[in-house]
Amino acid sequence: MKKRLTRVQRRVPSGLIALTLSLIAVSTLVACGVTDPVSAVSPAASGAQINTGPEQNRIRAQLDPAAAKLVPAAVKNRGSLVVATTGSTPPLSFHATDDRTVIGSEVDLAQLVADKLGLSLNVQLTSWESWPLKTQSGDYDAVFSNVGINAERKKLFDFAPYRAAFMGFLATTKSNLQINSAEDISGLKVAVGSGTNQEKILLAWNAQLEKEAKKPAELVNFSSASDTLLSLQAGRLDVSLQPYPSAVYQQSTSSALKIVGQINAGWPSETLVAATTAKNNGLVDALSAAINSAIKDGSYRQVLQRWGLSNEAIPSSTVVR
Amino acid sequence: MTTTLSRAAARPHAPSPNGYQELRIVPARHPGRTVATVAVIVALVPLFISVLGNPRWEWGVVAQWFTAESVLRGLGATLLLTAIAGSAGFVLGFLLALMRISASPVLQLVSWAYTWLFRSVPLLVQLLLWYNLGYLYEKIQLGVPFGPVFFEVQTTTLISQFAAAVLGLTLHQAAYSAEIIRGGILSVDQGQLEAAAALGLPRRRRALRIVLPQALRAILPSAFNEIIGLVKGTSVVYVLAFNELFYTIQVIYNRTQQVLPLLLVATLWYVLITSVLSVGQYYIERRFARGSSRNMPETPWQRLRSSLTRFRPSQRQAVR
Repeated sequence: MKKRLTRVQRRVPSGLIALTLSLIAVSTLVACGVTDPVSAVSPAASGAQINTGPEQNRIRAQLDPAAAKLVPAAVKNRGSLVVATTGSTPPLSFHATDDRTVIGSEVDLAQLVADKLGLSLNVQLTSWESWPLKTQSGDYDAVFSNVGINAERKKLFDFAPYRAAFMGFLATTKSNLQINSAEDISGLKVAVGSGTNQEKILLAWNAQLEKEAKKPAELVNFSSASDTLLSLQAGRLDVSLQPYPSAVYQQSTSSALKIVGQINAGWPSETLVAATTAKNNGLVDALSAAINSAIKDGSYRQVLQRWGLSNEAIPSSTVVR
Repeated sequence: MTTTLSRAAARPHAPSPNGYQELRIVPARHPGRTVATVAVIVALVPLFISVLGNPRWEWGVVAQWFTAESVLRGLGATLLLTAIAGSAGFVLGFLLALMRISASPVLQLVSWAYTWLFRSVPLLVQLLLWYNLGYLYEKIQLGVPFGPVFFEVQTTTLISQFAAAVLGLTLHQAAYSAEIIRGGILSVDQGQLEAAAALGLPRRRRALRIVLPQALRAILPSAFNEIIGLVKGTSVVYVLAFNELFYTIQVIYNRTQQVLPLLLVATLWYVLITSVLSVGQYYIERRFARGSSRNMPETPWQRLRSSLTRFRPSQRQAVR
């Protein structure tokens, strides 16, 4: 006689039930939409209040037919300008209190440019690692994300400048450093974003120090301003070098920090922050014309004032290829 | 003088002439253990007090953001990514494991090469490649090789941030799962296979009812390890600017500059998820241990119950 194998009864283990229940609980929590704590207003450097809410009521500009004529046919047919920004550096480009809407001076300026060219604005969030490839592949028309002009970038991109760029040295309020030149950073631990213009400056300063047989600074790369902030406050760093506007923002939102030096971002010469677009895609002239038009009608200055960046205004935008 | 009682010496039905009722039962003393216990408690209390009492943790801010809408949305995205990449990764890993132990040299080689490649390429690089596929290939076409094209699409429209994240995590996870599953299958004793074959069981039933349940015993701990790693590993998709839990936390602290308390918010959520998964793991493992150990280990709940009732004499009347 063959014995039939009987099926073993299958019960769902109680752990699985607990797991599903808790997952359901979490997802309902997500679904019922608890609201965010909101303080829609942050102090700006100038003492003015910055609006960090999702309702931005952006400063808008009038269409400029002459600039709009310069837009390449492909972009014109699409009807929108795809602009990328990183959303991680207040007040230039960051997230509103709903943590969804990307806001900041860069987005406002991109809005002015789109208005001038008669296009709608399509803002795409990107990471600093991703923008060069995405711009070259044509996914993004232009990048408005505090991109400074430098020789290496010129090989791959065209630029329409819209801001002067300064860098600020940030330290804790306990620090008594004052930084203006290479000598001042000798032997210090300095935080700086990798692949940025400010890193190039520090490398140049270190080369100079080594020539003078002095101790160079130790550079530390963090991927975001906030990681830097944490290390500064923990006393692991002496100073951090970042775009001046974000240094001002951090100084005004944190009582533990102060600015201990300011240099031009293109040290030893000047450099400019520009709308960055893929080389020879024909868009750069239109961008530059739109910026110039906004400078003329005053909307440009209003935007910079709104974010407390008036000292970074430029008199006119000249295309850099 | 102490009297020790062994179970064998105590005869319940033949009371001794003088009886043992007047003897007090004293529990054994373990002075070393007691000292160690007290020392550990003394060491831990100041630690707790410092964690809860140091104002720099800003527990108020933690409480404020812990159930904030955007944090929960990010949490949802993290759980979704983990669920999709975890399950798809394990299904793909299972196929790869089967290919690896199959008799076909081509299947073996392909599976081996896949695992080799995806364990070598850093996840970050992979994610960036998928996300920027439009840079390498402008269009993706479907059709007969070297023949007509049925379908053509712009790469960028096809691969969103979410798609790139799922693709990268799944393919990465599959390579690791494949090895875990293969190891589990190999751990089943050869004698089991021979016995099953000798009983004349059909191949399919051999695989499903003999090999797989026993293989699972070896697979489960590592599999849960991987899933828990994946929950936190999803945070690497920040590079795509995809709004999962950790990216959301960064977005918030970039604006408010309250770095540490917000990192704590993320940590607490990860702790919670890991705890839930660990409980699930315990019960699932217990279920699959049925064949190997004669007595099931007690669940924490049962252990608690028995420890509360252990010293009740009424329950200890009968001799086992």
